This record gives sequence, structure tokens and C-alpha cells, in this order.
Amino acid sequence: MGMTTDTTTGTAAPTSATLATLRGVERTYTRGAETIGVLKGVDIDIPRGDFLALMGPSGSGKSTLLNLLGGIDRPTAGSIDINGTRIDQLSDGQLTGWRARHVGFIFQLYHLLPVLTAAQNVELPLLLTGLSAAERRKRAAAALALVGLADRMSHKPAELSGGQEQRVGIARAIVTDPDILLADEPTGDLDRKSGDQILELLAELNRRFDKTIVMVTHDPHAAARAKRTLYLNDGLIESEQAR
Amino acid sequence: MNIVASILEVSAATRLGISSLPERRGTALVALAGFAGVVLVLTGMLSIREGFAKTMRGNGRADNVIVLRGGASSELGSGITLEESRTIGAGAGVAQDGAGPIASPELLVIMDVRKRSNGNDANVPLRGVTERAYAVRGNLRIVAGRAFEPGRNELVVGIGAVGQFAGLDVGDTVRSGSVSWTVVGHMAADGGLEESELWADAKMVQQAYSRGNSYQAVYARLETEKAFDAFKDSLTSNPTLNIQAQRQDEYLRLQTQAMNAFITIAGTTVASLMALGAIFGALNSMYTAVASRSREIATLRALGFGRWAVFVSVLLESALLGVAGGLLGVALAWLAFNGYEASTLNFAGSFTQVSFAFAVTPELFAQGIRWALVLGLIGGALPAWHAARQPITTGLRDL
Amino acid sequence: MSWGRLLWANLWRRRTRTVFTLLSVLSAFLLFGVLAATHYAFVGGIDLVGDGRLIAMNKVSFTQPLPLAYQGKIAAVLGVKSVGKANWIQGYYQEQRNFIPWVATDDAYLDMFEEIVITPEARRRWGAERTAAVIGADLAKVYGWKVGDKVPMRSGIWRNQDGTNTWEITIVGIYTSNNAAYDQGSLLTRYDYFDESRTYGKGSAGWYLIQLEDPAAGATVSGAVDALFANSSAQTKTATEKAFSASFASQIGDVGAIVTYVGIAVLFSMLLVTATTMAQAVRERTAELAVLKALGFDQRRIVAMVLGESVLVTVLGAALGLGLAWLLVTGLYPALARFMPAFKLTAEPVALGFVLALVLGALAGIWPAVQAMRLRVVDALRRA
Repeated sequence: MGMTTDTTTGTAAPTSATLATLRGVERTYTRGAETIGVLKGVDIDIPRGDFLALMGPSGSGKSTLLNLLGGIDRPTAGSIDINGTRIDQLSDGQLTGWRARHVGFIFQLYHLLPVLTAAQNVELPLLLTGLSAAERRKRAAAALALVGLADRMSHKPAELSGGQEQRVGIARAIVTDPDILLADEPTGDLDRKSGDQILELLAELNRRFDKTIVMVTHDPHAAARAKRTLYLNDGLIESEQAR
Repeated sequence: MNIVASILEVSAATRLGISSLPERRGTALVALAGFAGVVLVLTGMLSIREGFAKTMRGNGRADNVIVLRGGASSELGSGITLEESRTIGAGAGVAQDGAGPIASPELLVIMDVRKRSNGNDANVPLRGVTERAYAVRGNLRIVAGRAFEPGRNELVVGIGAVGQFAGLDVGDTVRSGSVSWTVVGHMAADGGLEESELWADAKMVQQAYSRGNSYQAVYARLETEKAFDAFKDSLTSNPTLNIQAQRQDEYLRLQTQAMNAFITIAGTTVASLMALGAIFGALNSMYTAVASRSREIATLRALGFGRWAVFVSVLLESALLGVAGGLLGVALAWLAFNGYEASTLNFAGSFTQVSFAFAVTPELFAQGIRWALVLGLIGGALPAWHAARQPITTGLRDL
Repeated sequence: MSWGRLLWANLWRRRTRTVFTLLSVLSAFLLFGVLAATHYAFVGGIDLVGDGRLIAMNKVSFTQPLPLAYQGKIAAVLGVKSVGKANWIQGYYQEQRNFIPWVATDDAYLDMFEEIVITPEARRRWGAERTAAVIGADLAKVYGWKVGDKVPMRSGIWRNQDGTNTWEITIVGIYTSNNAAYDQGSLLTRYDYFDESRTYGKGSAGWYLIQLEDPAAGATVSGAVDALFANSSAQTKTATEKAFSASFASQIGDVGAIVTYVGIAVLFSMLLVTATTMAQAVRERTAELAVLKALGFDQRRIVAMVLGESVLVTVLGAALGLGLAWLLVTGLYPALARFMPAFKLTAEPVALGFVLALVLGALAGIWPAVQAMRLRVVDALRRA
């Protein structure tokens, strides 16, 4: 299997204080003859090193917003600029390559491959890079050490606790050193203690490594750990709260 | 637990399972197709055996005898003089009609005729006969043209041979060495071996093949089946004769034996190996079925259905798939093979071509479905056992 | 970890199912291998017959004899190196079901077969003893016959002057062959011993075997031989040994067609099994595939993973099945050699088997791969 190099998005972006700029972003779905507006014109600026929580009731559009930021969904209208790349203008193939290099996903249900060990799961995104096998292993080990699972390298997901699985998920998200980490209800499936540990880990990544994080949650306790919180309601930003 | 309650329990569990079949039609269809494939191949191959045997033995009669020279394996290796043939005709117990004893001296030679299917020369049996040959067989009919006239190089061709070999239509001329034969008629014999043969006047065949006035076999009709031993004794006790007498049906049965055994072994071996593959396909299918129904099975068990009801219901479902596949297989085999006309070399006997039609008989039908049923049961047993042993809580937790 | 490891790990996700699928594919290719060997035994073995010899027989049919005088006349034809005569005896030992292919023949015939390997001592005794017989190694094994044994051999066609159909023969040599696929189950005895004592057909030969000076001259020589006897009472039909074998094989029926039909039925069933397994595997892994896509795995890699897994199953199954077929064929060979000397699993069907495995694996994986490709990340993750 060969590696593809993406030439359209590979250029280094000019360093500015703002990482992501969203203008007039709309997203509508059609169900039969009916058109449902999930996002109805959203403007957001996300500075580098931000830790942003997205809150709002079910159906408010927060998850859709996260998907748009991660390039796994496309806006119906509006522009999304991330680190100098207009991702709303990329083709599907370009978008896939862009995700591999610039985004790290953290899922509520972790979504680890059950057949792979923790280390192999973390190594997975590195398969898309040109790194040597030894280098890949080294980086995966480093990422696992960073999340505190150096001693669980060769465990399968089924042999880990939920909190540990989510740590592996986080290690997998950061192993490629992406521009932005996107977390969808990262503590939604965890007990309070494990959830707190995960939030602490995210906060630390933000603090120590200056990682930009956008996190969807409906738990005010989780949102309290972010630098600021955007409240969405019915497809629009209702309010913003800084810590 | 009484029997009625048990039956109700099993039938309820089975119905539930079958009602969810459409949702897993993909794997169910694969299991079904696997069974159908096995049965199709098995039935197809055995239909060759049945068809061959039907032709070879169809006209064999227990009250007909065939007399060959002592030690001869078949007509081809036999030789009987004119005088000997008369002595044989006068043997004890030979039936009589208005024209004398019903005994027919015959010679069988081989003529090369082109096979339609591949254009190669094949060994076609040319039988030299007298008028008495019709009386011994009793079921020959001229279906086109007329019978050959004595003293002429004329042929009557069996309808099986007409289909398999080129240039045997009424009016055609067949050259063999320096002699030309004219086809004057076609004959039918209730699907028997004679339909594979070319018939001509024995005198003309003796001439064309430099056989003087010798024959190779005497066919005779006995007064009754029971007359055979007396007939045989009357000939073997004659010191001037060196012959062997066999009942015609027995003689033909022996000639069919080797072919029968070969096709049976080949057919069952091929089908068995295929069956192995089909069983694994079925195992996959039934395991998927059990997995997708684990919640339902757990619910049934929680409601008080017994383990064995679950076991039997899974097994029944698999057996049902088996039978359905078997039916499909035999139906396809019947459509594809029944009546398919072919010819092959009769190794064990005359070393000539036998024309026959593949026959999917009722026995093959039953055998095919039996096989499929057994395959279904084998494929279902292990998954059924697992389903029955699954703890109720595991299944319910899958919610 | 590598791409191969990822593929391998995914393959064993559902261990039982993969094992069953592998076994299913294995059975199919085991059958494929055995069928191929059988087919070769019937048809392919013909290729082993050399082009250097011609057979001349009576044009009417092979059961009609040819005059003995033809041997000298054929030997005089330009391009003929030597001519041997032969007679079919339809032998059997004790009972008719113990059939033995028995040919009465002469020095020239024995000498022109480089496939028949005997010791110089056996060849010397053949020339010196009237009742001398040379038998194939496979035949010797069946009845436990050794050099020096005297055996009463019977004929299903001929009669001896002594009133029996029995000839006593003396085994002077047991032949092997430099060509493993050559028949080693026959019995050869001297023509003169047989011809002197038979009661009818004296002074004739069943067929003549002609060794050519130049194997390429077969057509010319066979034409010349047939022309020589065109106006005599016994006309000849002359062709290469290979042509006779092929024509004979075709008389049995279309073994090739039967094998092909069965093969198609088998491979089609296997395709179904593998295709559903792959479809199931993809259906189960919807969320995983979506995650891989979110991580940046492009369509090409996704398709390659699904197809790769499917091909891995069929090729692995084919390797195991063909390996087992080879063991089986090799194991059965000693028992079958007498009837099917060319019962062999050759390289060609093995190569074809692997190609078929590749093609079938790809075919089985196409639909699931398309499903995986069409998968939209957002939808798939929401469903999961």
C-alpha cells in the first residue's frame, strides 16, 4: 500500500494568533421534502492554544459544529479556515489527507480497534505518514507514556478500563501532533473519577503543550475545565462564557 | 412435561427463529446455495450412472440367455461356428415359435463412425443378425424407414446412435474399409442397448469382415426363467462344445458393474469434498443466526423455555435450510441433466460406444434430499448447542 | 505494526468465522486439486506420449487384423527406422475380473520403447526363451510376482491349441519407466510363442508400431504407409501414438467438460461463502471503518484493506487446500498408478488455482469494499 502526499494543503500556514475562523457557517439536512437547519449561520474565532467547550441542548448543533471543524462533514454555506486552509473548499480526498495531518479525534465511545493492542492502536494514524517502523513505535510509546499508560502498551482494549481506553484514544489523537484536538463527549461514558482524570489530562495537554482543544459536552462540570464555553441553541450561538 | 407442551414449545421457538430469517437472508441463502450445490453435483454425476445402467440393463431379461465361447470376456473376444450355433439353438428349454427355436446367432464387430460432439472416430458396434434376432428381443420397433433386406449391405441404426454419431440418417452411406453400407431404417428398443447399435445382415457382416461363417454369440429365449439350468447343462455336458451360458440380465449387470462403481466413487468423493465446504458455510450461517438472535433466545429462556427447545429450534431451522437447498439442488439437476444424451465407451464389455441419456431417478431425488438434510443437521448441531448453553444474562446484557 | 499486521489482526477478529471460511475455501481447493489430477490422468497424460512413433492399424477398426507381410513392407518405407508387431490378448489371471493388459510382441517393439526400462539380463532372456514375459513394476506388486516365476495366464479372446485359453509364461524381467507417468501395469510376451499356439488368426498382427528416423516426418511417413496399402484388401490407418491416445481418450466422453462444470459449481459456492463472510465482516466493522476514515485513511486504503482481507482468506485457503490435495494425490498414487499412471497434480493447475483464488477473493470483496467506501463518517459514527 503506497502513501499519498497531499500537495494542496501541505503548505505551511502563516503563523497568526487565530487558528480557526468560521464565518456564516450553515448546515442543513434534507429529510424527504423537509429541510432541517442544524446550524443557521455561526461565526467563531478560535485562537491558538484555546480550550473551548461547546454546550447546548440535544439538537442544538454542537456535534455538527465539531464534525465541520474536523472535516468529516461539510457546511452547506459559509467558510471554515483552519490554519490558513479553507477546508470547506477541499475535495473529499484532500479533506481525508488534511485530517490525517491536522486533526486529532477523541470519541465518546473511544472507538479503539479491538484486535489491536494499545500501542498498535496509537500507532495506527502513523501508518499514514512516511515514518519508519521503528520511529512509529517510538512515537506511539511516547504518546502512551504521556497519557500515563506506559505499562499497558500490549494490552488489548478489552483488557483496559474505560478511563484507560479513553487515554489510549487521546494518545492516538495526539500521536501525529495535530493542530487541533476535537473531543466529542470524551467523559460521557465514564464515571466521575475517571472523567475527572481525562479532563485533567486534556487541560494539561492544553496547558503544557499549548494544544488547541475543542470539546463537546453537556456536563457543566466538564465545561468548567475549559478556558471558555460557547452555548449553542437551535443552530445559533446563544452566549459565551470565559473562565 | 407432557409431549404436547414440548411440541408447542419447540414449534414456538422454531417459528420465532424462522420469522427472523428474512433479516439474515444473506447468510441463510449462502447456506442454502451451498447445500443446493452439493446436491446438484452429486445428483448430476449419479444421473450418468443411472442413465448408463438404464440403457445397459433395460432390455436384459432373466429368460434370455447369451452363449459365448468358454473363457471369452465379452462378445468381442468370442467365436462360435455355424454348427455350434445350431447345437445351441437345439439346447434344452429353448422356446419355439412358428419359425423354429427362438435362438439368434450374431456377430459383433466395430465400425469407426464420427462422433458428433467432438468429430473424432469412435467405436460403434455393428451387429450382424438374422431374422431371429427380432424374435429374441421382442421389443424392437422400426421407427423410420424399413428393416434391412438379407443379402444387401444395408443398415438399421438404433435411435441412440443416430443422435450421437454423424451421417446415420436414413439414406446416408457409411463407408468402412472397402465396403459401403446404406442406412435404410432407424430402430427403437425401449431405451435399451440395441439403440446404440447398427444392425445388418449377418452374412454381409461376415463377408465384409472376413469372418467366414462364424458368429460370436447366440442369444436365445427360454421357455421359462427356470429352464436356465437345464439349458446350461444340456450344452456344457456336450463334449464337442466349449461354451459358457449366462442369463442376459446377469451378463449385462456384470458389464455395468465397473462403470457403476467408478461413477459412484467419483460422484460421492466429489460431493463429499463439496459437502465439507458447504458444512462450514452452514456453520457460519447458523452461528450468525444464533448470534443475531441471542437476545431473543435469552428472552425465551427467561420466559421459561427449556434449553432443549432452543437446541431443537436452531437444529430444525438448519435442517429446514438443508431440505430447501436439497430440493433446489435436485430440481436444478433434473432441469440441467435429466434426458441429456451422451455416449461413452463400455470398457467392461464390448469396448464399443453406448449411447444413453442421463437419468435423474426418484431414488436420486430422495438421496439428494437425504444428503442435504444430513448436511443441514451437521451444520446446525454445534451452533444449536452453543445457543442452548448460552447463559440467559449474557444474552440479555447485549441490549 | 505494519499494514500486513493490521490486515492479519482484522482477519482474526471473529476467529470461528474466519476458521470456517478458511476451511470452506480449503475444501473447495482440495477438490479442485483432486479434480485437476484426475483430469490430467484422463487427458493430460496424452502429452507424455512421444511423437517419435506411429501406429498402423486396420482401417476398418482396431479389432481387424493386418497381414504379417506388412511388417517388412512398412520397414522399407523411407523414414522408417524400425517396425514392431503387436497383438492384443485381453489377459486375465485366474478369474476374468483380474484383467491384465497383455500384448504379444517382438524384439523391435520392445527395443523402440525407451520408456520401458529392463535389465540387460532380462533383455537377453527375452531373446533366448520362448515363454519369456516382461511385466510392469506395478503389476508385479499387485500379484507379488518375481523374476523366474512361471504363471498360467489366460486370454479373454484367444484359444491355445491344447484346448485351453491358458498360456504358461515365464517372468524374465520387471520393467520400470524413466517416465513416472508411463503405464507400469502391462504384460509383454513373445509374439512367436503366442502365434504358434493360437488356434485362429495365425499369421496376422493386431497393429504395427513404427519408429521414425525423424519425429518431424510423422505426417509424411503415415501418408506413405497408408498409400502403400490403399489398394489391398486390408487398408491401414496410420497416425502418431499421441493422436491415437487422444482419439481413444475422447471416446470415454468429455471428461474435461464434466471436470470444468463441477469446478465451476464448486468455485461458485466458495465465492458465495467468502462474499457473505466479507459482507458480514464489513457490516460489523462499520464504526471501526468510520473511525479509520476520520483518522485520515483514504478511500484507496479502505478498499485495499477490505479487498486485502478477502484475498488473504481465499489465497490462504487455496494454499492449504492445494497443499492437502498434493498430499492426497501423492498418497493415493501408489494405489491408483496401475489404472491412472498420469494421476498427478502438476504445476499448471496449482498456478491456475492461485490465480482463481486471487480473482475469487477480489470478486468476493468488491461489494463489501464498495459498501465500506460509501460509508459516511458522520452517519456511521452516529449509528454506532
